[in-house]
Order: sequence, then structure tokens, then C-alpha cells
Amino acid sequence: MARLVLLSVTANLSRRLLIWVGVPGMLLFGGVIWLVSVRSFDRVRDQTEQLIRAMVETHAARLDGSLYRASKIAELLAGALESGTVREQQQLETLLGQMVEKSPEFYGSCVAFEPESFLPGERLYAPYFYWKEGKVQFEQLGTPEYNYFEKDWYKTPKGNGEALWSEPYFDEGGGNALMITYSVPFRRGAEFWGMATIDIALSQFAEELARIRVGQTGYAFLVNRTGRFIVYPDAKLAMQGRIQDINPELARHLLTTEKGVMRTRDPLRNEEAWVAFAPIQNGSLALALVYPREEVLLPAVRLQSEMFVLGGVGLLALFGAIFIVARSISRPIAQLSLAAQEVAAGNLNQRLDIRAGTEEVRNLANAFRKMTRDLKMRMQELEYTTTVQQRMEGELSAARSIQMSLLPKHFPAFPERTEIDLHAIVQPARAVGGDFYDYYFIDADTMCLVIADVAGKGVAAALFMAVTKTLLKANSVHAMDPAEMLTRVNEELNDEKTGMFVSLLFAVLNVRTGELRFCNAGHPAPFLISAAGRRRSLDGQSGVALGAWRHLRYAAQVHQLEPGDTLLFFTDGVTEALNPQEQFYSIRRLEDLAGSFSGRSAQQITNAVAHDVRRFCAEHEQSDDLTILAARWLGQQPAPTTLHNHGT
Amino acid sequence: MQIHEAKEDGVLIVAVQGNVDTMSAGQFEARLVELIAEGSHRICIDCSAMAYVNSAGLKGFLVAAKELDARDGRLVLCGMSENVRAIFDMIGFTQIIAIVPTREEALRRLAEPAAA
Repeated sequence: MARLVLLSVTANLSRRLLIWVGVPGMLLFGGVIWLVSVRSFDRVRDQTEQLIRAMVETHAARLDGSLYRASKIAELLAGALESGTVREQQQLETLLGQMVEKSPEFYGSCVAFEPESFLPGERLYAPYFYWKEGKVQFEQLGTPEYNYFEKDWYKTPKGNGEALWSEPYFDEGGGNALMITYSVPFRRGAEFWGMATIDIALSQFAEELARIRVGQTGYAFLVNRTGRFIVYPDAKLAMQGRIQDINPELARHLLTTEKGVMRTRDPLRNEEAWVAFAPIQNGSLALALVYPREEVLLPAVRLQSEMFVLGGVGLLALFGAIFIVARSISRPIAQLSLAAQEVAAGNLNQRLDIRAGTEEVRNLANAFRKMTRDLKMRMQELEYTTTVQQRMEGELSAARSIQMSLLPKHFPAFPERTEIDLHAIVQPARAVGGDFYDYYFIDADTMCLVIADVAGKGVAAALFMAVTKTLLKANSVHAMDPAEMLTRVNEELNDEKTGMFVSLLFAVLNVRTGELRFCNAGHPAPFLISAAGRRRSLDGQSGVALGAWRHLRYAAQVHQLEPGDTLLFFTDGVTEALNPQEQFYSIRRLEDLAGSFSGRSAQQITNAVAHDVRRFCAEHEQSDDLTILAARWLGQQPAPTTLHNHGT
Repeated sequence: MQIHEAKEDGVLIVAVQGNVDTMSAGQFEARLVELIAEGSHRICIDCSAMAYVNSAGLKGFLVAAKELDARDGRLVLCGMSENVRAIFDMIGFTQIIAIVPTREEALRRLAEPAAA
């Protein structure tokens, strides 16, 4: 579940590393720990089984040896009596005493006879030597208080007719100790004669077994062939309890004459334990060693927990390393992405203080730093050029206002003149200023018309235009001879080597007679449109634009206007206006449009032209100034009465 | 606008390509003035690839003509399309600058001893 959640989250770097490195590492650690524990547990088990098997065999052999020696003593006594070697009381008691004295490990030894069979007249005779307080003591067991014929150690072997070890018993009035006895019956002739016995105090077994060390908590116990505990750590059960009542499974194996090792319940603590067992004296007794599982496995458990701790520390270190590495990579990247956002927001002055541990990230940070620096430089350049551009635009707008201030813009131009209807439009382009027009009367009948286009742009063009206009005005005395006038103005404009020039039409109209004189200096020829709508381009001789070249002669044309004739002056801003397909408006289109001008006022005509050009250009930006001037000669009209009255 | 320059028999041939308009006129004029200042006094401007010229562009031609005139140099234009020729015509520059149909003719003109 936790893994799933981890995987489903959009993983950042450290999470991915943890999943793809940390988790496999954890699994590997876990696997190693599991394998090593399994192996170590197996090993400990094997070693334990071998150990306690060897131990039980060794100790069983020792006990067996001891019991064997005891049984041999009893058999020796019996043999000595049966063979007739020992016949007298003195002899027997000496032998018995010596034997006991030589065997301090045994409690005592006794030879008991059938009534009146050894000492004549003595019904009971059973000399008994035993150890007490480090000395061999003698006692005649055959007393009326101690009727040995009824004792198990005498009665049972007599009945069976063969030697055997007794059940443990307390020899009340005899040895006065808890003991077991080996009884060997002996005969005289074919007749049962008596019993040679040897006693072993159970306390001796207890001492012996107490010396057996089975680890720290293990122990040894001894049962006889009926399963009764001879020596058992729980004193309450010694002599009383039986193994089959406590652990029948163990009893089944224990009470055979086999030896072996098994895993079963500890009879004492009822916990898992290994129990090794071996028979003694052909199954008369059985020795068992109990080794509690808990202690057996303690080394393995300790190893396992050590490995858990070690693995835990290792994993912790691994996770820590992953976390640190991931952070050392991802933190500078996160900082970079933050910085990138800052840059995107326009903050180019931030100091990027990134210490990246990995070379790749360091390179990235350096590249980012360089990018920001370059970007900043570009921004500064852009700012500078913008400033320059703004200054230029400022200059252009200044030029434009100079240009516009030089143009007469009050219409109707001459409200008191009924002979002439005049209107002009100028539409400056964004970047270029150079067109101008002018009209003025130099005497009562003579009107000058000027349309011009200065090459170039900006303040220089505007100033050149002002100079031209001034020079034209200054030379008005020669207006009646436009060719002479332009020749003079041209010389004066050529005084300065500016390379600037102006294409210009200068016309002089006698509003009384309709006589038109004009001189063209490199300008598009005007149209003359009759009242009936006939168009004529006045494209006679044309000279060089003024200011271009000195020492030139200009020539004039003379035309006679009819009443209702309209003169249409324009600059190349009209005919060279571009549409989105980069086509020119063209003189032809203007001429076609002029066909509809008959009977229109000058203002209607200029507006119609401007409107048509705008429609033609559509969304294409106007690239040059555009100037239209229309002058309609209405002929000599009857003077209005007001004017007449005024004249008188 | 692009300018291709080549020298042939001591004559500098300047081939103009594209539009010589408000945008490019400054560059055009500056380059011509520079070339003249560097000592090219016989110049042929090949206008066969020139699509359009406006008054700002015409100023460049005029300045070149004036500069060369002041240095006793000579300027011949060639290869003009009809449209361009019409513009030169209208402004009257055909009356002050030599304009011939082909480059060969222009080179021949420039090879002649200074005209009277």
C-alpha cells in the first residue's frame, strides 16, 4: 500500500532515487539477513545436536561404568559365596568391609542370607558396610526391626531369580538414605541362599548430574526403566513423578534402550528444547540432557539482531546518502527554475548563487548565468536603441509639425473670390515628411499655386522645405515668368552642397482671364479636368528637381483654362501608394477616377482622391506623404453686390 | 537591397539589387560616397536588378553624381527597367546623369576620354 502510494505520486528526484535505489537496497539487505539467519540457525541446531549427543553419551558411559563396577562388586561377592571361597563370618565381613572401603563412590554393600543358612542358630544375618561421615561403618541389618526378607531389594530378585537394580527407595532402618540397590541372588547347590547387594545413594547421582553443565539453563535428569525420576531438578518430582506423565512423547523414546536426540517440550519448563538421551545398564536407567531452545538459538538470535541493527544502520546511511545526493542535485535545479521564473518576470539583476555538487548541474548553472548576462546586455542594447528610436521619432514629429505649420490650412481659402474654388489635403506618412503646397495672390488677379515634394525626411527635409517656400516667396517678383523664377530659386538652393532636392510645380493663374503659366521641376504632371469631365495631363516639358544641379534652365508652359476647368495637383505619394499586393495606385487609376469629377467642388475632389487611395491601400501602411491640391476656375462671375458696393 | 561591386578596366561597377527606398537609401548613399572617397572616379551603376527607387534613393544617385562631378569623375547608369527609368525621367535626372541601356555601352562611355 505504502509502495503504491509512493509510486502514484509524481516523483521528484529524491523520491525516485529512494524508490529505485533505496527499496532494492532494502530488499537486498533483507534477503541477506534472512539467508544468513537461516544458515546460522541451521548451523546452531546441528552443532547443538552434535554437542549434546556427545555429552549424553560421555556421561551415560561414565554412569554406566560406575554402575557396572557396582554390579561387579555384588556379583563378585555372590560368586565368592557360591564357589565356597568364603565360608566364615569373619572372612565374609572382612571382605565386605574391604570392598566398601575401596569403593568410596558407593554408599554401601550388604550380603543377606536366608534364615539360619550361614550362621547356625541366627535367623537373620545381613552384615552391612556403608559410608557415613567419611568413615566406613558396620551394621548388622538382620534385626527384628528390620525384616529384610520383606524388603523389595531382597524379595523381588529372589522371586525373579536374577540380579537387578531396585526402584529408588528410602532405606528406613538400613542405610537410612535415598538409594537404589543392585541385588545379585546366590545359591548354595540348587537352593537360593542369599542376596549380595550394593547401594548407591541417589545423592551421589545428583552430585554427578549436577556437575554436568548443559549451557547456562540446560540440565540433566535420570529416570529408571519405569520412567520414574531418579534425579530431577524439581525436587518435588524426584522419586515421585514419572516422565510419561509429563512428556509421553519423550518417554516413548527415553524408555527404550536406544540413544538419540529429539526436539520436544522441556519437561521442566514446558518450552521447546533439545533433549539427548542414552540408556544406562541396558535400560535400567536412562540419562537425558535438556538444552532449552531459547539458549541454543541465543547466538543465532544475537547474530540476527546484530545483523538487523547493522542492516538498519546501513539502510539509514544509504537513505541518507540518497537524500543528500538527490538534494545536492535537485536543490540547485529548483533554484535555477526559480531563477528562470524570476528572469521570465523580468528581473535580470538577481544574483544566482548556486553551489552545485555535480558537474552537469554546475554547467547548467553557468549556462544559465551566461544566458541571464547576455539577456541583460541585449535588454540594455534594446533600451538604448529604443531611446535612440524615440529620439528619432521625436525629431520626426518635430519635422512634421514644422512641415504642417508651413501649410495654409484654412478653407475655403479665399471666401471672397468667386472665381476660384480651391482645396488641398496633405496626409503625412509616419516616417517621411517632405510634401508641401502653397497658394497666394501676388496681386488682385494673379494667384500662385505650389506643390512640392522634398527628397528625404526628418528635420532636414522640413527645413529644406521651409527654405524653398521662403525662396519662392522672395522671388515672387518674377512670378509672371515661372521659368525664370525657378531658374533663380534653383541657383539659390544649390548654394549648399546638401544633396537635397525638391520636385516642384509652380503655377501662376490669372483668375480674371484663366491664363495658366506653370513650370515643372521634376514633379508629376498635373491633370486638367474640364467641366465636361475630359482629362488632360499637362505633361509638357519638365525640368530637373530644384536643388539637384546648378546652372540649369527651366521652361514654362502656358495654357488657357475654360470656366469650370479643374487643375488637379498631386505628389507621387498618390500614384505610388501601395496596396497589400505591392502594386502602385498609378496615374491611370487617378485619371479614371478624375472622370467622375465634373461639377464637383474642389473639396469633394480632394476628398474623393484621398478616399480612393485609402480604399486601394487597404491595410497597407502609407509609406510616403500624400498631397492633393485641386483648384477649380469658375471664370469671371458677376461681382456680388456687396463686393461692388464695397468697391465704390 | 544588396550591392555587388566589381572592377573592370579601372571602372567600378556597382550592381544594385532590390528596392532603393527609404529603408535602404542611407546605406546606398553612404557606400557610394565611401567608394568615391576611396578613389573610384569612374563608376557604372548597373540598375538591371533594381526594382524600385523613391526620392530618398534618388538622392543617393544625385549625391554620387555631384561627388564625381566635383572630382572630374564620371557616372553612368545602365540596365534600367522602364518603371525605374520613368522615375528618373520624372525627377529630371535623365538630364543630368548619363543613362544607357546596357552595361557594355556604359563601359564604353566610361572608357572614352572625358567628354567635351
